[in-house]
Amino acid sequence: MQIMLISDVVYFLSNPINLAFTAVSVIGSIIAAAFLIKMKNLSSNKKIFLAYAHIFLLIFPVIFFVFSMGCTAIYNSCSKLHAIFYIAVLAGIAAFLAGIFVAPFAILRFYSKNSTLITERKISEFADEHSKKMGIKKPEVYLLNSSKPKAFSFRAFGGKIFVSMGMADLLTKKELEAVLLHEMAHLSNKASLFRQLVSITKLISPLTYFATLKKELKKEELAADGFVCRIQRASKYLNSAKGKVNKYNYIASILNPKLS
Amino acid sequence: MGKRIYRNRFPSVLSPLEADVLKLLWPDRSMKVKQIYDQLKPKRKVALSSVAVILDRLHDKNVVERKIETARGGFRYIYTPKKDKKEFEKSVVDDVVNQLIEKFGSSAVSYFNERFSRKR
Repeated sequence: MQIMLISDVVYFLSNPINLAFTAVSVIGSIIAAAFLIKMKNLSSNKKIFLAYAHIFLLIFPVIFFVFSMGCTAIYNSCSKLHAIFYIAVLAGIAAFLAGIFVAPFAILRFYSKNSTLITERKISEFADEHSKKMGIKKPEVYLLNSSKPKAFSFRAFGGKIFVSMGMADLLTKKELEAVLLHEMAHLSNKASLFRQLVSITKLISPLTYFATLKKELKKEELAADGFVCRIQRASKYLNSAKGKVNKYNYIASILNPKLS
Repeated sequence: MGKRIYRNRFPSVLSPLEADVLKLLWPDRSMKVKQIYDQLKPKRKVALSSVAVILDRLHDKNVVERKIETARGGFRYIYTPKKDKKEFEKSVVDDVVNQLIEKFGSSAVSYFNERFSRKR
């Protein structure tokens, strides 16, 4: 069985087009990983893009190989060039879908390495109280060891919220609560999974950047903001938090573009 | 010409706000962002975000170190200077001299020799 697999791989790579696809894909994957590891000051969006690019390019040759070896019927019914084209497209789609499922694990692992789970009583009680009211599972709140003010959530894996030290340094208690409530609103909103998929797809394929999708994302942000205002009975804490974060990013971009 | 060299060649020299922040941290004090901001506010026009950015810059320049402190239900970075004032000034002078020698080579070396022999 192992010998058959090795001979299949050798046969597959003996085709120059297959070899070219595989080599370009593997090299691209290594380059994406190298950028992700070496360039620490990239924005979150760029890091997510590189993580997806790395996974996609790594999986692509494997799926391409599997489809090539399995599609003998296609080889019989149309020219070899047609077959290779369709197999490449199918492999691309499969790698992309696999990436969507695998990448959140990779991204989460990446952020978890630089974070600690907050077990502090007041924050834990806050998350518990509001998650019960919202009818969602109590999310785990992580403290991200980063001076840049940021907060984001992952709906997958039972709900996780990441808040950076930079956020904790800048905001008052009420402002931080507003941010936590905002992220919890995203977790409770069933459209949040769509939001994550859209934002990730948008990074990989610029063609999916339709105005309608942008509207949906904005609607969800406004819904989360509205939720915070209803719970806190005021918009000033959330507005103040956003103002401080925007000011930080603006000043950072002027003083040192690397920090923004 | 001198000012251009100063800005472009010596990035390790501090900006006015960086200098003010470090003056508060020297000698060997540990402070949070908010504490530094509260002390600077009466003396100059400054925003909390600016102080946070400046401390981050100083951390990237390896001038200050930071650790996380948990207190009263919150989390904050505590910043401490890595070197005292004298050590820092020495390192800046060292850096400047090295850059001058790198840029001007033997001209810089002979200037220093001349200058220090004259002082004697």
